[in-house]
Amino acid sequence: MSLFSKLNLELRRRTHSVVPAEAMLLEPASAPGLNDLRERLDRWGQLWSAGKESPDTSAQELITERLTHWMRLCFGERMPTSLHGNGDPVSLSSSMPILTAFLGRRATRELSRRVLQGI
Amino acid sequence: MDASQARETTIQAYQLHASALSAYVRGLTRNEPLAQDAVQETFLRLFLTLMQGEDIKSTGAWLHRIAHHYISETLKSTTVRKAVSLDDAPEERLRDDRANPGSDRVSEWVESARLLLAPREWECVQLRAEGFDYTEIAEELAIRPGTVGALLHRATEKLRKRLRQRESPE
Repeated sequence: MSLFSKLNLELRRRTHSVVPAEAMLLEPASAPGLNDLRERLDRWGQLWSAGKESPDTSAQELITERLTHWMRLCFGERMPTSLHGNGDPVSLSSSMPILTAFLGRRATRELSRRVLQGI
Repeated sequence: MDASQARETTIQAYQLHASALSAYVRGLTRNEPLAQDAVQETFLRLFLTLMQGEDIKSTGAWLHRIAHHYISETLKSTTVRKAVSLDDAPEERLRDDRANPGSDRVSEWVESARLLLAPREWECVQLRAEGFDYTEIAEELAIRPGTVGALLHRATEKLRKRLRQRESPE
């Protein structure tokens, strides 16, 4: 049995075992965590469907660059341009349907997380 | 769902489930920084999933599943040094320079796949490509999830065989 299998087994065992005593002490959701989450969601929400008129150009460029890279990997060199022939940059909202069809929901979610990494 | 709705739903879910989720991941990891990361990452994934238009029936169960998966993957990547990155996607297998690029190539391939597969297999592949999971496909086609797995496996084998034949036509 590999190390990871053992670890995974241990995790599952813990999941189904009696909940540890400290886990029962529920604390209120932390304010810094919530504030950080709010900030990120605001930013990501703005960038999700932003095109040329995006207020944050550098972040939008980074997203376009990463998405184009992934779409090239998935569909080949000319696919991004054939999908966006009207000159609009590739955005998360416009590329999600094709990526979901090609990769499935879970992989697309992880891909969008990577595209938004550090933003 | 638009961005503001997804944001509000995520914030509400945080206020409702963050404490229980924190306790759960702390119990799993016994590692405070990792637990905090896991909670944040789980809610960020909830937002991304909502933005993808997915309908989540039981938010609490979904969050716990994602957090568990995140921790398991993180422990795996720190334990197993040779983690395989998504950057290593098999680009050369996906690209076929001989064929016409763009939508022509895709529709040609889709058409050949449709002809190759049995109708039931084709339906399964289509639903899978739209992002349905095994249970949802089973509900849609009124068959058991195990049958969905078998049909998809058979379809994948046929498509693989066809790809191999295309790559080395002897």
